[in-house]
Amino acid sequence: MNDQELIQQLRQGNEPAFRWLVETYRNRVYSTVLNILHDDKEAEDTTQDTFIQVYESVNSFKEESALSTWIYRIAVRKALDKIRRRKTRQKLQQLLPWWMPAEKNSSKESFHHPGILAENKEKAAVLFKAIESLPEKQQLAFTLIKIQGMNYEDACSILQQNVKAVESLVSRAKVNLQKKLQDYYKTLK
Amino acid sequence: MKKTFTPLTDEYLKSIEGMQEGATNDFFYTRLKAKMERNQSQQGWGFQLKPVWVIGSLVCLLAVNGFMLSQKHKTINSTYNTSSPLQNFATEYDQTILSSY
Repeated sequence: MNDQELIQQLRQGNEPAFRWLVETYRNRVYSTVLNILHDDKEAEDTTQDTFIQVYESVNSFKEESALSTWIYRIAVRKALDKIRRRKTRQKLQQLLPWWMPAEKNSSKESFHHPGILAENKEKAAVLFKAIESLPEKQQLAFTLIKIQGMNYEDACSILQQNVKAVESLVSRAKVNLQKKLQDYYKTLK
Repeated sequence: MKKTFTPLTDEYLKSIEGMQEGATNDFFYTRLKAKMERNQSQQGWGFQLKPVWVIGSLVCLLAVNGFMLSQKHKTINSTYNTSSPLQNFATEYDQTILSSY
């Protein structure tokens, strides 16, 4: 089924077409969101929200980009919303600890990606922790390109930025990560 | 693209080489449909249950309450100011004489 046919059927509310779309994209969307959020439960929740949004707003999809790009864009925006809400919650927890009790999965815990080899898990967890402290845009660009392995063209259309801007974000992210990892090394010594 | 010298970043990036894609639960679609149905049934209440509306309603309620309380105090004060203590006492204990003529 090509994009055009799929969009047409989705607009008619065809459930098998929606199921096909979900089954085709769910793991890729989940993987992208997991790499951004570093939390499997939040990632699953965000993946569900992404498909709900796709279902509800397919009529307003202008087809200026590929369907997959549009889906990823929704997923990335939803993941960003989650990160922002998480940061607000953390600030409120610091300000009003009696009103906002600390959650089990706090940001202090390390994220161990399920798809990473056991011998690399610790190192990867340090890298993910350092990525979390990057500015939002750098974090997104670096994750999509260096962690998710997306090509620049796709990443640019998802982030709605030109190639130079994304390259610059990735480059700055690498420099910032270098500093953060150096600091981490110093604390180990 | 300008080349940057970031050996530590590159070293740590090697740890994610060959990383497998994360996968959702097998019942993902069933859960998704359940969530969509739940959302649809809650849609009618979504408007009223938004925090901004809840807090707004609470503030309005408190404002009306405060206004009514201040009005009550004003009435009591004016009653006390305009009538004599003896009349106040009679009014308070419902001892006023009702004339049938």
